[in-house]
Amino acid sequence: MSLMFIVNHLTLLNSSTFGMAVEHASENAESGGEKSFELTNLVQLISQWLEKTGNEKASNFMHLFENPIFFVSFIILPIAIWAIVTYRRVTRGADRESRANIPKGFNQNFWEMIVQGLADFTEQGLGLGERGRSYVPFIGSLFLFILLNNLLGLIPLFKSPTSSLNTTLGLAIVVFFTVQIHGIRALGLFGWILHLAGIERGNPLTYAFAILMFPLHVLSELIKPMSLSLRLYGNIFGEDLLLAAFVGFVAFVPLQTPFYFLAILTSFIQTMVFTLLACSYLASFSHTPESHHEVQHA
Amino acid sequence: MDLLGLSLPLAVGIAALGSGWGLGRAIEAAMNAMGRQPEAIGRIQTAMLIGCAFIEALTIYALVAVFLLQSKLS
Repeated sequence: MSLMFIVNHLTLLNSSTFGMAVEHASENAESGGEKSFELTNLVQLISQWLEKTGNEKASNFMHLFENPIFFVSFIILPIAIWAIVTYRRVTRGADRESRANIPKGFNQNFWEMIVQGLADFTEQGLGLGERGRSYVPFIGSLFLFILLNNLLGLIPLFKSPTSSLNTTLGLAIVVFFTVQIHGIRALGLFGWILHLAGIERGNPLTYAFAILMFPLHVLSELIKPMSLSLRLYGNIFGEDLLLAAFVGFVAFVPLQTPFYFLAILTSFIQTMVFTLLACSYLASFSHTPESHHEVQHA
Repeated sequence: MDLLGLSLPLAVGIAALGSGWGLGRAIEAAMNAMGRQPEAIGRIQTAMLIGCAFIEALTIYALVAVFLLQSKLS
């Protein structure tokens, strides 16, 4: 009952900002005649206010960096500070009291729940068992970052940072370098090159095809960040566009409500997919007893 | 005769057609496997989601091409 109340309020707020959305969309059009729907957000409003008061440099800066800096730090900084403060409080108490193995309090229990969930998810995704433990921080932060960024666009007056190719390309490049460096560290430099050529020590046939497989594998490795970033960007930008397109159809009627639920669903699914793909790329560069090129195309 | 205005939505439509067929086949196989072995549902679901993401990505590429060319529509 109260959930519907909240959802209706959010959508009413979105509907009433539609008038502003249309006006600002025509102002923010890149080149003449581009009709992309976008709901107004706080940074746009602040940047336009700055422009009116004559502060053009600050306004340009805000408009240019609205996604990466402002929205990302808006959602990630409080969460990160909360996590760090909880960690400090917990470890400080553990030094002093000997019965601190029982988690106490809301913060500690909440974060332990989240960390345990992420650790299980990573272990399942990597399939490496104990050796996969060292990658839980990376995969876990990737998951939380993408999830919070995707969901941010559903709050009125905010915009998802992942709805622009800048953020998603950055994430994909980070994953690319992590995977390659993990490959070099796990297999050795020479072993990594051999792996890229598809050569297995015991099998003489793979030596024959190495010269064919090497460009193929290198190309597929280079395409992986492209496909990761484009998939996340397309899904989240498309969902935001869908929401914005439905906001003002009938004035003050929240027609975009069913699409809100679809947007929540696709936000979760896209983070899972991105993180699982990152896990599977990491696992494909490690020695496992069973893996052997299970999921390896772009 | 606005050829671009005709071809852009048609491109997304054809891409959606292909991905719909592909996704249907993938999910059918996943459902069959889940029915045969209910204790492996978690792992099958994970693999199915990864496979669906790959197939869906191709439609998203077509959508991105539409976004890129949108400004050239008259």
